[in-house]
Amino acid sequence: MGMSAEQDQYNTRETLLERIRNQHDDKSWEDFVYYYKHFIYIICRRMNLNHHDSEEIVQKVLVKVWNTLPGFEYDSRKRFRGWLCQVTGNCVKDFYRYLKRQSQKIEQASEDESYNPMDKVTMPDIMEMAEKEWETYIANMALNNIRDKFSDKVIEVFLKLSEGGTPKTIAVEMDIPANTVSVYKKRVTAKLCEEIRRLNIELG
Amino acid sequence: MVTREQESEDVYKTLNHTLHQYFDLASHDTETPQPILDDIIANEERYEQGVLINQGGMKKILKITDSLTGRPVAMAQLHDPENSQKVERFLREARLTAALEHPNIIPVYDIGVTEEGNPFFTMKLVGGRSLSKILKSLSTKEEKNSFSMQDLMDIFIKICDAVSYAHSKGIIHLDLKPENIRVGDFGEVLVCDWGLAKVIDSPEEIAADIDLDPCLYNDITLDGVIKGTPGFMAPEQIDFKLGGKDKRTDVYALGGILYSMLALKPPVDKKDVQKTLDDTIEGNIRPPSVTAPKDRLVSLSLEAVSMKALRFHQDDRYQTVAELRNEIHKWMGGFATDAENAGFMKALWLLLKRHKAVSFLLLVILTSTILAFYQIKEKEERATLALNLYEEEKKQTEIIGREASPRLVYMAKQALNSFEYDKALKLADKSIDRDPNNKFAHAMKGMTHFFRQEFNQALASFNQSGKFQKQKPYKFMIEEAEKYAPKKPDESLLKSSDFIKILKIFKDKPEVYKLFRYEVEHYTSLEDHMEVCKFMLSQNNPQVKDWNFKFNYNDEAISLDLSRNRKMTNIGCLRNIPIDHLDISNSEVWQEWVIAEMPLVELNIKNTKFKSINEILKIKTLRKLYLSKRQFKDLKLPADSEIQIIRK
Repeated sequence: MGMSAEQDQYNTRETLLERIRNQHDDKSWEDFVYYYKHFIYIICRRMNLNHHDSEEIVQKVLVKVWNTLPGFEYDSRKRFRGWLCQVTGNCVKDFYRYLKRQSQKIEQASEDESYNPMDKVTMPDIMEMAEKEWETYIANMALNNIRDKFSDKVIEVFLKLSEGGTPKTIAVEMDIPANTVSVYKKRVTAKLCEEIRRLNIELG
Repeated sequence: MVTREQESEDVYKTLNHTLHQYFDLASHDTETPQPILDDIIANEERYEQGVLINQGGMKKILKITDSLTGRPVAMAQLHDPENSQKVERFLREARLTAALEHPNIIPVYDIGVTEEGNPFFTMKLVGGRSLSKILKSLSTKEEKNSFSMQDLMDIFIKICDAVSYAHSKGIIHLDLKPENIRVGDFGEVLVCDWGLAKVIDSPEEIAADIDLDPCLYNDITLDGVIKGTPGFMAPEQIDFKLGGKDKRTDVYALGGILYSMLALKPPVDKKDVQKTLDDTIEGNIRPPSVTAPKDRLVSLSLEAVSMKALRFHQDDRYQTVAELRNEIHKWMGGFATDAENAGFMKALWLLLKRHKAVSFLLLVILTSTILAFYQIKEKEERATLALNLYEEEKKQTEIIGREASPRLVYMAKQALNSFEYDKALKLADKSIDRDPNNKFAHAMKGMTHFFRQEFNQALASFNQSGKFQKQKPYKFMIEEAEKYAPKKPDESLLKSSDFIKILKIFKDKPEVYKLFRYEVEHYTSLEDHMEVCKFMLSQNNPQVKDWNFKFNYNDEAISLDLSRNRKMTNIGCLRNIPIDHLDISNSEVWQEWVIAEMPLVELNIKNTKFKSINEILKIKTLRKLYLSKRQFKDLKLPADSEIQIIRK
């Protein structure tokens, strides 16, 4: 019993974020978690948390999102990510504060231990860092998504190029003509940009 | 790279930072290239530091001396020259304005890029005030009479001339308002700020000497964002569904300017766009004679002209600026006739003086008769005009109501998408009020009733939804509603077995969640609800073949055993159920957040995939937590914790 996308004339395609407003739409929520948990984790690691603590913060943030999302009015996607990063940033800061209190309790404020690396980091710094990380994360995901559309060799050439290799050296190294290198590059770049744009709209 | 099963740590460690460049590339790709900027970038220093004289949202205007010509000019610069999209739009405005040579359009002298690479353009430095300042001053006691209606109409005619000229070149302004009209000290009237202007595709008589390529010039404004100024923006600028922007969009704004000249305030006096739109679609433009300051005389014929230009429907407005201009012209002619009338009275007085010999009394009677007749006639004319206006307005309100209907259904649909069932119903009703023939509104109302399991009401609405009755998903809803409507009063919910049958029909579609969510919020029998949850669990975890689902409840406890459903991952649908004993051991569940909200007393998560249980440990009611020997080995509970960890 397939209901087509054109089920009614006023239907507007919902992005993942819009779908996720429905917490009972568990599939969307799962997608959401899948796409965002790595991102939140990355932000945590960037703020110098270790693996274990990062995993914990991810859970904490997700609980918060789960409880807040349905009431959350995001007319702009950017605002959602801003909010998400803020929640994450605050969780991390709280966590460091907690560590500091703990160490003070234990060692009566030994100087090294009570150092809080997040003290001097402001929220705008965190947001800026998170924005950069998001872009890298999306670009990585995009490449992963389009991978199977190309042969391994094409992808390898592309990666070497993006790491700063010149077409000439790569051509010699991989034993292919130099203009093939640039053809590969063009093809992958076009697809990659397309996928980045799509993901950015979908997950924004 | 990223896969479903992958751990965050691996993703983090394998992140390829050299790929970041492609994100930038991808976002630049969507923006237009910068042909104009590239054109101009090679240029030399010509201007010095200027003085800020004005600023708007996007650009600032400086007064600056042009060292080449030695004259003071106005220089426009961007606030945010880093934004390449804005740069192109800005330069585009400059080029567009430069292409318009008319005594009533601000002349652009020069376009360039500063040493720092910031684009700018220079224009004529106009003294005087903006029309909006003039209109404001007319509300003050001191300057009340500084501009007569005749003076204002002179200005208005000049504005019309400028816009009419631009239209002949295929350019529409799209942001006409008193702020953008400069009135100089020596009677110059200049239309400024062509920042939102657009090249229309088929100008009637585009002059051969300027050849503006619509593709080059329009790309940037086609981004679908609402642009313009509340009060002067035509409805189609707010809601593109109402029609494309064209010359009549400028006619609307001109109507707004005329309105402000009459009433000394904009047609819709709201600061925020949404309210303005609401007022516009509700036909809340009250005639200037109603909104004008009490002591201001409003010409009823000019009022009629402004109201016609401000019509909601493009087809109902003046079709060209020239038409509008001619009406004003006619009024100015009529004004002259009034002056002539005064001349007649004067002549009569002279006559009286000349013929003192004739019976003075007779003349007095004659004069008063004429005067009385004249007054009655004028009153009658005014009354007829007022009646016509009233009827016209009423008709317009009706039309506007019908126009608003689709927007209201659309809002109803959005409300439904966010599970606001009551709001959706209200909006659908409103939409039907406005236009009882809106079939889609009936369909939407039927659908809302359907999700609310109000099948009788659903059918009543679907019956009026015309062609939608035959379409998916309404067709299926009607079939189902017909089955259950006779059996179940609208006030109660279906038995779980029947409800699940319906859920099965909409399997995998968003309708399932809309049905389920309503049920979650309104169920009265927990036992029935658990049946439904069981179904939703199986839907969300199709990989689980044989379900262990043991549900028990009595007055003291609600317990649910979901253990050994090895592949079960998703238990989100258990939300809002006050379970106090939960066993999900030997499964792949890892989402703490679902569980953290339950008033749990006992929880078994042996051999699950939880990565952290901090949120679980915060559950105030929790007393017993079952873990396997390996899980969270280093777990240390606070001394005062009442939770007992059981590992066996």
